[in-house]
Amino acid sequence: MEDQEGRSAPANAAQEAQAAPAVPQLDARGASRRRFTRAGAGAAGVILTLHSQPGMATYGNYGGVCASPSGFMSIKTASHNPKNSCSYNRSFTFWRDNSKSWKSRCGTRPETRFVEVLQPRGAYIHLKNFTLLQIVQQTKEVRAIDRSFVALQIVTALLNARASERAGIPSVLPEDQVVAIWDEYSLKGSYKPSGSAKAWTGLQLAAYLQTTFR
Amino acid sequence: MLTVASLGERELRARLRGPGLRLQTGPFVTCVHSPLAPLAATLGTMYGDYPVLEEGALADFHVRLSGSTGLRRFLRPQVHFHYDGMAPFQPLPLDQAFPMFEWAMNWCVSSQANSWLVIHAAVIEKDGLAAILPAPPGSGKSTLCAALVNRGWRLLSDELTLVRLDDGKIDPLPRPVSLKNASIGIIRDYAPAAAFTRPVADTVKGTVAHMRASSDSVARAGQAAAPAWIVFPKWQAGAAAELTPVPQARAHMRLAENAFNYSLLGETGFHTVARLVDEVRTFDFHYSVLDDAIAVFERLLAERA
Amino acid sequence: MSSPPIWRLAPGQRLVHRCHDGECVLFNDLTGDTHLLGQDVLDVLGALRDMPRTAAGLAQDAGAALDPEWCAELDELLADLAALDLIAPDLIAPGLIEPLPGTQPC
Repeated sequence: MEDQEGRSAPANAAQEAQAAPAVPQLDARGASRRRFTRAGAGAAGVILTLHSQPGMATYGNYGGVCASPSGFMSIKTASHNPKNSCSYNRSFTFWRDNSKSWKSRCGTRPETRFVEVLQPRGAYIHLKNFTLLQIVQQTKEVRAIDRSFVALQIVTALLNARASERAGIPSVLPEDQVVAIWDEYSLKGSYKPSGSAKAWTGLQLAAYLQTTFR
Repeated sequence: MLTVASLGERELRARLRGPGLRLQTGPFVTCVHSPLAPLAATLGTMYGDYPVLEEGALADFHVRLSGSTGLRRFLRPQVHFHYDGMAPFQPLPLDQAFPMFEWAMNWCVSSQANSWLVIHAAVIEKDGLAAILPAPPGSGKSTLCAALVNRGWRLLSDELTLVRLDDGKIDPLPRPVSLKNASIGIIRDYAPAAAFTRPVADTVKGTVAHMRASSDSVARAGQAAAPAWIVFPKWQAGAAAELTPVPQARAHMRLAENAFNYSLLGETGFHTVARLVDEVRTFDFHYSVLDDAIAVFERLLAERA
Repeated sequence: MSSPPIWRLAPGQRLVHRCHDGECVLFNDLTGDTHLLGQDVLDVLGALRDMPRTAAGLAQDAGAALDPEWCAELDELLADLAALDLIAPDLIAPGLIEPLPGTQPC
């Protein structure tokens, strides 16, 4: 099938609308040899998706660039202006509203149950079979269990960690740290960050996690 | 035309401390405020040729680099960057004031200049034709760029390639070329006549120095260029200088990944990259010896003649 | 028994794309994403744009209706394309559409 583009460069790229192939027939002769395979040079299938991140830099599956300074990822940006951060971190509303993109962004399906990624301990035992999507959706049943919103923010942090990993960029909280924070909190009912004299309550932990998101 | 050099040291410092130095770099005017005397001195050296506008001229960006206050001034003093009242970066040790200024200038453009597709890439020009060198970390792009501009190629930018949305031409943004660690020595040997800042150690990138852009490149900052090649460089010890063509659809994706505002521009971003890919030849480039690398670029140019 | 979904191009997708040597870049009108796709995938999208159809219908057009491996890969591809908001299932109640004559379930 030929390229539908005219050969000469258009005067205004923004006005150019690329038409789809005119006669989109699957070629019966060649089709038996076609495979919608996932990867490999020159192969077919959905090879790569560059996810749109309007308002910040673009990320792809093989590394990206962030709108931070110099060599871009070399100076830590001040945490109170996270929109300039190199990290992937999105708030739970983003993950709630974009559930279709979980698989390609983080390799995790929204139907994944809580127990498949985190240990449901103590009062959280009842979260066991809720899906990660239900947790970020904050359904009534989830809210009744996750009163201090820790599970909500932990699941959000986990998705961010996985998305950062896939995009090949640093994460404020990598996955193993997210799990460690959850383990301590779910075992003890509180979380004591290193260097801190006092342990945080659930609400304080949830609030902290939220500051690492945009 | 008023330049930084023609202001003289006293007036330069007065403007920086007072109403701001309105410095023109490529298409942008930055109003710079800073009380830091060493920064003023370095600006005087590295930006001597650059145009300065009068007080009251409209600026695209307003940046402030200030020192620490109180006791901090005496104990490991720092430099702070403020933009429009925000502090986008954490403070750095005071001796990193000039690198921080450069990084701040890059940040302004990469996060705000949405009348162009802004690619994280060096771009150089000869005979009206531009070669874009996208720059994932570790590619050796700056070293290669610094070498090329000392062998007859014009510096358009060493970090930020500005692609016009309407016609796809490249607008220059010549500024000091940043080099780090071993590259500093390599380029000093390669270009003994070039002017460098004193190297600054212990930055997040290691030791950093900047090479002044040539007067010619600054004088021609208003001359756009047509893109002819995109070359993804990769320095590799012992590698022969070799170009490998990159398939066009792949080139589109790799360019988009290296562009700061590709997503922000939406469909316009898509078409701008698509047009660029249509108009240029795209290569991966491995090299180790700078002279061999330069020769490859000269051959590309000769093929177009 | 429920009918298999009838796939169509997601409303709003114009298939803004460029193809070169068997690979295509596609701008996703709904999400703003850019996809790198094999040419085959663009053929499928084009086919669905012109006429919504089931996986079985696509398989029959390709002469691959009796190839279970091909069908399985097509099913996975269609799921991926739906997850990317490129295609969507028609919301038609089962039983209202007659299956195309001669179509076999994959």
